[in-house]
Amino acid sequence: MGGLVLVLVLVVAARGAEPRYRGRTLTSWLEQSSDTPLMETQRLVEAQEAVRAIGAAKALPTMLRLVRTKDDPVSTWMMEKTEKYRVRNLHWHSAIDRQLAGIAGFEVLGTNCAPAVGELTKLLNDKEVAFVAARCLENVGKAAEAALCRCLTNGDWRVRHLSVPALAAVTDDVEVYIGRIKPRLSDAESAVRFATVQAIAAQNEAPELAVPLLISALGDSDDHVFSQATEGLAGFGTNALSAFSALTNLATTGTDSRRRAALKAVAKLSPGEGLPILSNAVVSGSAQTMGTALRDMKAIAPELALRMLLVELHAADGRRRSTAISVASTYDVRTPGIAEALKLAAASDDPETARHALSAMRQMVRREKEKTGAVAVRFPNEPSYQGKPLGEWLNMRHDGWEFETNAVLALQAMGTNVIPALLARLTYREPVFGLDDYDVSMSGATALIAMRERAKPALPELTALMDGDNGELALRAMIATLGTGADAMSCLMEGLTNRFPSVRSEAANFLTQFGAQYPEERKRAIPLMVGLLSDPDRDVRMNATNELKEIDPQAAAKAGVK
Amino acid sequence: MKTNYTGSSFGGRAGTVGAALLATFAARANPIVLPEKPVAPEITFVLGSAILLEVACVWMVLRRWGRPRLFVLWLMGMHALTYPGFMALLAALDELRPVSAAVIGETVVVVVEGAMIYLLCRFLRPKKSEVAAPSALRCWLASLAGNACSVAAFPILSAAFEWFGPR
Repeated sequence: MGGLVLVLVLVVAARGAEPRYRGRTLTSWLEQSSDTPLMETQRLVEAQEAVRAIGAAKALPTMLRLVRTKDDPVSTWMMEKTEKYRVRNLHWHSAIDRQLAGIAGFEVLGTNCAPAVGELTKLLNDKEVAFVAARCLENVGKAAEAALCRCLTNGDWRVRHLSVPALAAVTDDVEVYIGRIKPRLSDAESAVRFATVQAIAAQNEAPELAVPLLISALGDSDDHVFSQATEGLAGFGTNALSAFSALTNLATTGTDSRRRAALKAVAKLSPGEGLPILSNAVVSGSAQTMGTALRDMKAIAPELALRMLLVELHAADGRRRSTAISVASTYDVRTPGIAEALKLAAASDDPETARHALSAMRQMVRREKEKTGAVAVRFPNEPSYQGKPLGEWLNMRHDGWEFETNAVLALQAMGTNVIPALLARLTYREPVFGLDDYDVSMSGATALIAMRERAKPALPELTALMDGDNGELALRAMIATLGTGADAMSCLMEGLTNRFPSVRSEAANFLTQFGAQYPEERKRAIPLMVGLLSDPDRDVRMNATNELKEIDPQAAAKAGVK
Repeated sequence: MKTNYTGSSFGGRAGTVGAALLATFAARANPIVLPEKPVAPEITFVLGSAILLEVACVWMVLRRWGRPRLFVLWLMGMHALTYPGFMALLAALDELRPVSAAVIGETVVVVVEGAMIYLLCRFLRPKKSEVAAPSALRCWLASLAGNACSVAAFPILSAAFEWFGPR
């Protein structure tokens, strides 16, 4: 009995000391507030309201206890063992979880936590929890101003890094703020210097104070800090003209990455004066510098930039050509000269250039489509049904490629008249670069499938496309045959010996899925499937192995498949 | 974004389209289950050894005092109550740091087990026994010694199993 009383006393002492709301402890509300994703607003608001209802006066002791939590070897060991032994009913919280819960409390209660500043300031001297204390202080507001100033010189660089922007929110005067953070420009840690430059660059109402400091940061040894300084100066526009000569100097003599950063700033500070520097960088800079300069020039002197870009697209150096292709991809597809130059690059002997050009062309077409919302390509003289043209019926789809029943009925009602139009869609190429248009082509293929046996007259044309030079079109042509019932099986069998691996692989796949309805025809395909087991393409071999095992395990075993 | 024309991705999409339109089979999901090392042997070994060690300690401390017959079995059986109780207490205290919860839990276990040992020795001791039953204080001392031994041995036993147990 005495033991039981002791149990009760200890449990009540351990759990009951904490403030509660709706039967739950403050810690559990804080944990909910800390670990709930921002998207789960209802759960988050519930926890925050609970913490507010408890109030800062009652909550602060618990929150400070959570913030002070440190890892100890016994707790760490116990948590490891609990996880290892999969003890499901023990839900320990690591020191970090508890610290985060404490921080969540400060985030919710904000300036009401001012009474905790003294205790948090003391914690700044403790290496293990200084950063956590600083994270709490940044939520307290004006009352934490002095503590945040102390943070600027803390031994932990993360505390210094955090305090630079945090101090901005609690310092009323820009001059005072800049004066406080200025020494951090020479901090030993580059991340702190970076944050300081960023903070100074944000003071756009005080260019006379900020610009000289940003100019001095141009001498920083770290490239990221340097880039941030140039970006900051660019943000001041004409107010930072005093930096122009320093930037011009760096744009011509700096290392490659610094040159690029300086060029961007030069273009923003004084576009007119910067143009010769940019054009010079295009001619004399490295491939990357040339790319940056061309991009910046595009906004200042579009015609000159285009002329210089077209020259670079024909450069002998592969790297320069490649960079120029990247820049070209940012242009509109109809820009004079760009499409021709890219098509020429796509036909280049250098496979890397050709691949890059093709990718750029596709990117441009995609962007154009997104921009204009041109999903439906108009074909002249397409058949119509019930007053609606074919294109409109083909847009009536559920998710993916499945047509609505009305659209299927319309296609079937249009009969064989629609086949030439669907084949024209299947083989459609967009007019600027002559590239396949996957969406238009698949709309033709899936419409032919939806027509079922009525699509049979299209089979000779589809078979011819399967034997063509375009692998992707060959695959879509094979897919388009799938609605024609038993005849599709012959096409799939032809697909098994197609020259393109993707067609062979998909033919094997479709034979397995679709061929179950035609067991006799599928049986005839087995020798061809066995042949694919020694296909030169690895993916085809793997696919054939799996499909053969499913269709005919005996034949697979006989062929050596385990 | 449907303009990624690479062969493999195209094949994948084409396969999906075909499957969506034509498949007459249900998808044959075959999820991979990652094998997990069984933990039951280790738990059995560590827990069993720790309890045996505790029982041995208690027996040693109380060896000169009156005890019930099959005292060792009584002590082992007692853990069928106290161990689940300890785990339940830890679960109730899991908002605390593990070390704090463990200290509270172990304290309670020492007190409860001490009381149970006292009751065992007092009421189940053979009536003709000439040796006096131990005092409550001595029983708690025995419980403290036993639990201290088993707590100290727990990490050692666990490490020993990792080193010498089956891989």
